[in-house]
Amino acid sequence: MGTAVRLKIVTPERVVYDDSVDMVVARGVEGELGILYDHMPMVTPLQVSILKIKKNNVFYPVAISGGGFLEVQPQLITVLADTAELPDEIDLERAYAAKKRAEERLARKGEEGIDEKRASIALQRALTRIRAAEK
Amino acid sequence: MRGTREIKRRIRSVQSTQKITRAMEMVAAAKLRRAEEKAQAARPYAQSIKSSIARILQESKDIKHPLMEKNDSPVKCIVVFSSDRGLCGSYNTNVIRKAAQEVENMPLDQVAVVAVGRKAREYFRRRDYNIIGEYLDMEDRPGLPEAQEIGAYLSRLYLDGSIGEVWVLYSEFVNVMVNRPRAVQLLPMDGEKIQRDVEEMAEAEEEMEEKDERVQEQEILYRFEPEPEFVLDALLPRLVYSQFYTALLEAKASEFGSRMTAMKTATENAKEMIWKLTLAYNKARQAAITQEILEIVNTSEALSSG
Repeated sequence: MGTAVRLKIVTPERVVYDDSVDMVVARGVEGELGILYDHMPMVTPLQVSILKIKKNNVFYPVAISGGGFLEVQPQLITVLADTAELPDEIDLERAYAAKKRAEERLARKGEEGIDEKRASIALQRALTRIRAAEK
Repeated sequence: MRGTREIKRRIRSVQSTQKITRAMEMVAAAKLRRAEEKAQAARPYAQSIKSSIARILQESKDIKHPLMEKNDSPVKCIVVFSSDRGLCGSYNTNVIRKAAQEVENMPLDQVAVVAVGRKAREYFRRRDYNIIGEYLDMEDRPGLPEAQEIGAYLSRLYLDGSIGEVWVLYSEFVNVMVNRPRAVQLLPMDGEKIQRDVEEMAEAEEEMEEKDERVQEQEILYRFEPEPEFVLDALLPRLVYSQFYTALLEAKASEFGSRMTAMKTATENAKEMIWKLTLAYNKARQAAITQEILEIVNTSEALSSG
């Protein structure tokens, strides 16, 4: 068809996804991006967010739970994520536990020994996983 | 019969040693397979992040980043990957010797050591080196969090000027029998070297006829969102820890490979020893029997003649 683009999602530990897709929707630090075949080459950091893969008119979510990068070449999109999971790889129970922990910590912010930034990133990560898994 | 009993006991002792070495060989083989799989799985990320950085450097030639700039500190930091336990042949000796060569003739206060594994820690502590970090019992852990930690820690020290150079010392896994101790400079990062590496990688890939669109894309201009500096600032620390992670996985694979080979040799030596001892045992037994027969014959002869 000539309209499919190859998507690779790679983390330091493994290759999470490697297949041809119709479109990728990602959230970069500057905003949402929809990327199709023959997109202009670019590099941008990604937020901790859900990446959506469109294939055969269905959107599939992937949790980019560690943040990372997106590199676009005309026929290849590479996502370099610190961590990433497909929905069925996510342990929902653990994600909920992490969410609770992070919320508790945020509620006590200002107290000693509470790293607010870290807690809010942890919360973001847990929420991303939960959303991806429950979609 | 005294001699034979002694030999029999030795045979049994060698046999039980052999059982242990054989078991260790098999354990190392299983761990090696896992370590190799991990190293394999980590390669795409390491390559991609390098080529992304190379592209940024190529397009914005004057780009600067503190991790790529030399600082004034004379301190050289070496990160040495060794094992926690012995019984792995010359594995630790080789990598530690290489590390010691790196800092030879340097005053002690200009060397900082990060020891991964007990063997490296012991060696450098005994020689009064300044050990600024140690990571022990890493054998069966995934290691990525540790790699990130080491990366962040040393980048921080580098940026505030406490250390002037960071080198990684590890054994590169060639195959089960062979590993090669390597010294790689991590900081300050050498932009030209990264670009050269990526070119080599691309050439190797072409030879394997796995051409994707990498060649023609050379002339295409990239857009960076936001500015290249910002992107680079987020990419470089990741390259640092990805390189630590690679070194860690290579070192692990080498360790298990060495241990497997060493234990295999030990098992074979035990086999040879058992064979020799069995031979000695049979001889001794035969000698004892001959002795007894002689005694009987002598006695009966003495009796009949008397």
